[in-house]
Amino acid sequence: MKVTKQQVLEDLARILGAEKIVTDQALLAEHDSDDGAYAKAFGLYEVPFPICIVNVGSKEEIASVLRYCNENGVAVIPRTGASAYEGLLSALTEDTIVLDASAMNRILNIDTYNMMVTCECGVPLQTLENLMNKQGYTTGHSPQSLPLAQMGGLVATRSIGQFSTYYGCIEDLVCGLEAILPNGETVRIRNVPRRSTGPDLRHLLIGSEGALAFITEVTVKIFQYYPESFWRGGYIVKDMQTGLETLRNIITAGYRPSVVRLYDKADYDYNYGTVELNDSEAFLFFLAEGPAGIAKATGEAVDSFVRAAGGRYIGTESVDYWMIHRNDLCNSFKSPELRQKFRETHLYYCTTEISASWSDIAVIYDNVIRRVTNEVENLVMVGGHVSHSYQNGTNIYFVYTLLIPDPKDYRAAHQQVVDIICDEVLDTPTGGSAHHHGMGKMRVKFADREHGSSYVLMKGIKKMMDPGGIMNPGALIKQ
Amino acid sequence: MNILVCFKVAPELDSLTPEEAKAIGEGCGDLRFAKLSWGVCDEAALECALRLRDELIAQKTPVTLAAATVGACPQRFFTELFAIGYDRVVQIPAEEDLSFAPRRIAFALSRLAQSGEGFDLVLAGQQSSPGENAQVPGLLASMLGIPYFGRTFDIACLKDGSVEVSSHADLGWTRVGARLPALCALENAAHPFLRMALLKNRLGASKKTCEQFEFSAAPPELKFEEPEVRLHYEHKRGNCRFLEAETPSEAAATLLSSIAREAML
Repeated sequence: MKVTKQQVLEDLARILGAEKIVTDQALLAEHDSDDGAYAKAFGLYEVPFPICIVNVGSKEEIASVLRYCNENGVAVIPRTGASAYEGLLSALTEDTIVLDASAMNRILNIDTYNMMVTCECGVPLQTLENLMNKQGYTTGHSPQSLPLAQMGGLVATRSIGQFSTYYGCIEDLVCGLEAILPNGETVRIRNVPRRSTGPDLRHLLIGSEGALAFITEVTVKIFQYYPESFWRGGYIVKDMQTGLETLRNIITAGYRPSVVRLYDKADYDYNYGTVELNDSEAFLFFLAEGPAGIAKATGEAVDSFVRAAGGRYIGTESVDYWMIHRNDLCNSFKSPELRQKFRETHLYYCTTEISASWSDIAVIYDNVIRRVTNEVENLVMVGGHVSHSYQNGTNIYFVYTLLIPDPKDYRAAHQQVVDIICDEVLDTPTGGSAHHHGMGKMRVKFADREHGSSYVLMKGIKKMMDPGGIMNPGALIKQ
Repeated sequence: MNILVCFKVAPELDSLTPEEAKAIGEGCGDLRFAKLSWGVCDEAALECALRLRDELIAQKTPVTLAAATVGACPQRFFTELFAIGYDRVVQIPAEEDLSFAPRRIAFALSRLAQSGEGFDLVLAGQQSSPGENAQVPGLLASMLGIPYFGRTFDIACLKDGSVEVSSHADLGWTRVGARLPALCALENAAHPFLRMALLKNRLGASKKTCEQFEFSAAPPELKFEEPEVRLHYEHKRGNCRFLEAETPSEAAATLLSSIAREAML
């Protein structure tokens, strides 16, 4: 950094006005939100505090701040809803500012003829979804972070929603977007239905984890909403292997239920526990939607596939319960009650999501469960569920709880499990080490194994778009 | 010291949405698919017993922990109790839902508590049903004929074999020494969360099965001794009237003149 911290504060106050600069220590301590929540519950703040949080309300203000930081070597962490995970929002050094654009929350255009809506980056997804529902539409995007997430962050983290098998992931939903580069230059990728004009530039920004540019505006697709025709069903199957095979048969046959979820007993007991499973059994459930005929046909096909695999139908109530409570955990992240529970129980619950082809996923599941069980000393629970499926594979969301008597050990304990999972995943030909949380700063150590020979392209893109290396250092590229 | 903890597995009411809670309150909700968890106060009682065991072991006092429940309970809860250190886990089968039958639950637990070597200390949650009736612990103590400490939030073992019981009171809290046997019902406890077992301990406990405790007798009928006591309520008719007035002072003046007129009559 070419200037002192005090100089940064004075300069930013001069550029934007002092009221936009936050230096309250309590807010700086929580700059990375729920990351490190376990340690924070014990008053342990493991990452450096940034110099300040800068609240911006316009593209011009973002451009001014980025230009200043770029010229003076000040690191910038872009932020909107602050629901990130994997250390994505954590400062690596004190020479950092957090640039918060959650005040940019205008819905700019709703185009129901062309089925697109354009928003500023700080529009809460829940607000947009509620508005769309009232008009008979849906964004089709419903991540667990729905109560917190905002549009810019959803795109920057390459988010996915729980209804993705029908509507697609964020990369399928984004029509176009606008971003500001570190030098203050604005780039816009127009809202074209499809183009054949070279590499798709949207993908330079979708999933860029704040490490290439600041996303200021997003245009996403919307869909007709048919809640009255929802079909749903829950089943118990013999084991995870049977469940995975059944999912593969359904998806590869061409059916697209919106929700496709498969839980092992450990995960389901811990998070829901509304269905009694024997030790090896798994819980499989579906939601099909769309126009009534499609929902009905999809539901009937799903039902016959699962029954043919020996699945036992257990009704719809457990699916309804999941629908209502699927985001409860997100609401608890910042609650004082959760932190009190950390202090009382010393139990830390965490997740790591990965993906792989149909042929590799079961191997990864078995190996991870075995290795984590054998190698992690203070393990209370490990399990997993499938939540997003594709023509050529699916994901596993590993969940685990660790007993951490000394909060100072928490980061190392968490990292140990992440390392085992990523190691197992990257040992397979088709394993992806981060399915939808982003690599953040916890998994970026695996970036070279993840990308292989194409990692050189990622490094080149970073150098081209952010030559000063000010944008979210530690994300995307190994330090 | 033999410690018995009475527990119940119940729908986790904290996880309900306001709409679900309203429906349950109005008697039209469905809790069958709600997440099951330890009864909130029972969870504290189970943890309290584990902490007492740790204290007693440190004092080199032999201790056994037993946990008992009446009626249906998923196996995973029994496994968890074994895995966190309970020596005995007992299920008292019930053919019907006893959620609103506190006397029958208390009677079943009393039969268990009086069987074998008996228990020095019985712990329970103050209440675990949505009805907030809090009847089982008091009834159980009464049936066992032992002292009862309600609204307990902490218990410490003393070296003379007695315990020190801290309880909530209307204007604060109390701490009293108690000789055993005794029954304490936990509420808003100092340690409200039950520890979780390490996976290796849970796997080690997975083959253990809980004891089934069955008995044939039904709870005794409640009988009134002669002379029969009848409650009498003398109904006094009140005199209610509505004051029509624009302002409070106008209403007060109307009321005053009305009272004065009645007094003159």
